Amino acid sequence: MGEKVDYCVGGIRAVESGDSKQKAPLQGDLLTGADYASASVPESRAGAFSNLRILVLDHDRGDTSVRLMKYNSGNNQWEDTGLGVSFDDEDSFPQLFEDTETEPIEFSAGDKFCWEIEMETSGSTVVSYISVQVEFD
Amino acid sequence: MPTLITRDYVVSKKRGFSAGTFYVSIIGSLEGESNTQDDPAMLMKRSGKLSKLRVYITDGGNPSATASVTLHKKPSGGAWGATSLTISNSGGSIGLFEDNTHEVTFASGDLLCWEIVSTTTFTNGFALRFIATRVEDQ
Repeated sequence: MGEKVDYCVGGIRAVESGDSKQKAPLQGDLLTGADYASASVPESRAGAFSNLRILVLDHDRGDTSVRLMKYNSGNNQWEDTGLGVSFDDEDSFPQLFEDTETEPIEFSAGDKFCWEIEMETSGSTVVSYISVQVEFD
Repeated sequence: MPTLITRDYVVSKKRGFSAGTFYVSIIGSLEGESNTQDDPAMLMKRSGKLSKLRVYITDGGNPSATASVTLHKKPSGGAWGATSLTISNSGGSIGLFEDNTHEVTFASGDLLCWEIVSTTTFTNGFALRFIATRVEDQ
């Protein structure tokens, strides 16, 4: 078993639907903007991400998804890793959403990741933190 | 004593700095800053070293402006001073800046913070998104 830590990005922030696909780094302050590059800190060692946890304080309407995105240097594209959660206005809030089922997302030193928060309809979502387990090689 | 895990410390936020010298924490949010090192200083409880500085700059300010991000350290019983872990910016350039050359050791009781220096003539003209560094115990 490798060494395990939690990466956490926090700070209560409201994501408005006009803020199309907001990005956040895996550590530090929650929201940085709409572009991938400025939210993606290159990892300094290899490992795997798993066990996503996100505390959503409020959400007024529509569907929202939170996904871990990874940069593919081979095709210069950002790709959905599959680690993520989604919720809608039929859920109760505040609520802690988790993805403990998705297989660990492996990475190498130098790989870039960020969180993407996408709202599909108008409204706002208030997020407290996003946390993910990191197991280093 | 158990071994600490080698990991990254990240301080981040979408924000800009005007001309001046500012000090920020080595972990958490870039929101807020101080004109003195003591305010955002983090007290290290173990000895170790910091390396692999990564800084993402989204606005370098006006073309004649310069800027830098430098780790500052205050040894227990000593005075604040700049370390060799640093990146420099000029000409309004943007993107990911790295220092993969220097390492800075620290001891239990040392204080650490980042210093941000900008000469931009624009209000909030020097814009950052994150400062990241690798931390490992010794």
